[in-house]
Amino acid sequence: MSWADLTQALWLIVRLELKPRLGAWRRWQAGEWARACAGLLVAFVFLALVYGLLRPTFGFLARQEGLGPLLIARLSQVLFLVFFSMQALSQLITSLSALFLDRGLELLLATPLAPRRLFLARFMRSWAASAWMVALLWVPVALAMQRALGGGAAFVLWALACLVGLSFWGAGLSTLVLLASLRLVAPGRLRRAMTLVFALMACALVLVVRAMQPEKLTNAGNTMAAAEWLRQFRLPQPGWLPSAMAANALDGFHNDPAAGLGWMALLWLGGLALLLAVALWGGRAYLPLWLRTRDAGGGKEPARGGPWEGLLGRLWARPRGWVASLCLQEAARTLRRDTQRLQFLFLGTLVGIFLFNLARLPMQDPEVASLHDPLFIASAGLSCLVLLAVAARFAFPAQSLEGEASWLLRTAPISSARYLAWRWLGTLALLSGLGLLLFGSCVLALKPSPRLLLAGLLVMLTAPMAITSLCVGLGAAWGRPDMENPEDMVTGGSGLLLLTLAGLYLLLSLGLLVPPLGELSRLAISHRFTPRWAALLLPAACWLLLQATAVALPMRYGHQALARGQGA
Amino acid sequence: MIETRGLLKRYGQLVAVDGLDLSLRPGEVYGFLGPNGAGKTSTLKMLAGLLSPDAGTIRVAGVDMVASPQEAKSHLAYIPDRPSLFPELTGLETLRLVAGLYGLDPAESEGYGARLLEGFGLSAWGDERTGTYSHGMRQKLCFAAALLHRPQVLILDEPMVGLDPQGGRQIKELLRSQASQGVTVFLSLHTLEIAEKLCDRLGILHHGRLLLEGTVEEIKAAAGSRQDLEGAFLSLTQEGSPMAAPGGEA
Repeated sequence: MSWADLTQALWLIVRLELKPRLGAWRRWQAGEWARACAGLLVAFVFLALVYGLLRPTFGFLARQEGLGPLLIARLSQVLFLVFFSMQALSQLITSLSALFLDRGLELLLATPLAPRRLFLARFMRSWAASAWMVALLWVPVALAMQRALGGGAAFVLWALACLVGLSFWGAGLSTLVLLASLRLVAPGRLRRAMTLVFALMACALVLVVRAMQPEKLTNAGNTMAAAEWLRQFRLPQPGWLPSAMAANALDGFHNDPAAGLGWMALLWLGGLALLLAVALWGGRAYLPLWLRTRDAGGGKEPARGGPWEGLLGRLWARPRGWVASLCLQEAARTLRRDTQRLQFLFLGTLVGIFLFNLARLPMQDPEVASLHDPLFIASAGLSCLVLLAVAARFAFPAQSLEGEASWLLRTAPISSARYLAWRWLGTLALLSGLGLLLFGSCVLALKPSPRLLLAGLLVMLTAPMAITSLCVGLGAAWGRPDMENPEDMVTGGSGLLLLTLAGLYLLLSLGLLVPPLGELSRLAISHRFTPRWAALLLPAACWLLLQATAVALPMRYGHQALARGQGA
Repeated sequence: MIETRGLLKRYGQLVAVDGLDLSLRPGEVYGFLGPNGAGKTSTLKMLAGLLSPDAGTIRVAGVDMVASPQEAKSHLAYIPDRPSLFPELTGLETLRLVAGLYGLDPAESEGYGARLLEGFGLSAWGDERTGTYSHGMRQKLCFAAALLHRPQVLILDEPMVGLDPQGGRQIKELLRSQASQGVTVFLSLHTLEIAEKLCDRLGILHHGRLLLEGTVEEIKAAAGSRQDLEGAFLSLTQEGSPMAAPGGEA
């Protein structure tokens, strides 16, 4: 690899990636700019929220005499491990797509452009794509740490340098794993293998949570027990892991600058050496590997049938109308598409972890009796977030998942209103069932007070309707049939906007319930039957209005977009 | 069978279709010609109910597409320029989905679907997922799906692209046979030779406006030359030609 290779790769990135995007931005109209500004605002609010949450947390930890530095060090280890995993996983997915599955590669590799230069350009692009969001998310973390520990702007820069050094390792190791894996399996199969890896990771996550035994912390009266738990707690990561190197480098800034500098040098030099090795090896191996993957059918290999194939076949053979046909089409697409099955796995794991940890809470302990109601509020809130995650993963990208085949449905004699209503009802049925399971488990495990039970029941009955509307309606309005991986919608700008709107709805919905429920409690305690109507009825009316708006508006928006022919 | 009045479609500042008036008779094969970006696909999508017009009316089989889109859609079938299908469904499942969407009798549509698959040489592929089909096979399956509910109007966007010579010939024969049964066929084309042989009437669209319509002979005559259709088309749509200029004679 030469200097010319590097400059040519950078030129490719500028020419093929940046210039077209800049050109597209110049052609944007007012609506597109408004959407982009709204997205930026939402991202800023989100980052501010992260800062707002972490700032007091770090401050509180730093003030704990004797335990403070230990707590911060442990937390930074966990954070670096999480950020490293996020970036490495993201790199694996983006480089698989950018280096092997992208449709434009055929055209580029048919030109006299040296494959090693194309590899280098795509590798650098993948690194930037996988690292920028992680680095952005790290900024509020670093700022919160700096406010708690001191160190000024130098500390923030040092913390950012730690993350950049860590990202070299994430990019290098993931690309190495990708190249090595593709010597054994085709990209399509690799995607399925990644499903298995994610499943193993999910199991590992459950095991780590169990190893930490967080329920011991519910013994709030016994601070010694918590301190002992923290001292005994060790993350399963040896010191040579990049995330441990980054944590040590950060820790060294305040405690041992020489050691910190040493770790930082190791992190950066090791990371850069790894990147160089990947660039050299990848540059040589890229073309033969790409050709091999083309011979193996690229990423277009159809998924193999599963145990549900017999059932699907029998259902297709029965008499049916448009509702049954659409349900079957949706079921076939969900069960036969690798990426959709992966979503199932993630969400199944999420629900499993939630229920498992709920069951492990030591609620029989008399010291925990006072925590029943707070824990119920937290668990009911988490249940709503699980429902939101399910709807955002399945219902939100559903319109985009139809892809270019959507003409088959749009030219059929079914109105967009009926079509959206069908999707709304189907999603609502699934979500309500799941909500009932989660809410029932919370009630059985935590036995909340009647007031909270009523509030929880109201939220659980209405939240699925509003969440479904938001995901189905906005998914239709913001649908992108041209997207290669529509499942990624939820992690993009529109997904962030959806999650923010849904989060706002949940907060408002819960907040508006507090005054009338408080008033009812006051009446029950005082045995009076003359309520303060303003405290009782006004918030209740606002709450009902909120529910009606949250259900009706997004669906109307989605219907209008479909009727206009958006995405056709 | 198809009638449009003052049809207009805008994308921001760009006027894609500009006051289009069309009238197609039952059993007629009407070819829609025009350079890239002339507004053919937008017109076809509006006729198929995939895009809503900004102004004007569309009537399909006497039914207003804007006022009663469901009823209008039940009379027509559309095939896009790219034969995209659900890759997770098999050929047979795709036909069953279409039968369900149009509310067809399952037993009857099953038999007719099997015959259509056989007619297009796809019987052996019925149980394979369409993700494994070639472009031409997907195109043929689109035709089978389009014919399943026996539409009165066929709207086809570049139907010959990607078909082998046998497939192309089969489609041409099929379209003529459908037209002879009273089905109105409205198709956009780039291959003028096929347009000349297949179509009863042609319409030439440029900058969203209908420059000229008529039989091949009428178009040649209007082009004011003894050239073939290609020459007439090129002279009509050439930038600078009096007809091609915005506001030119239509």
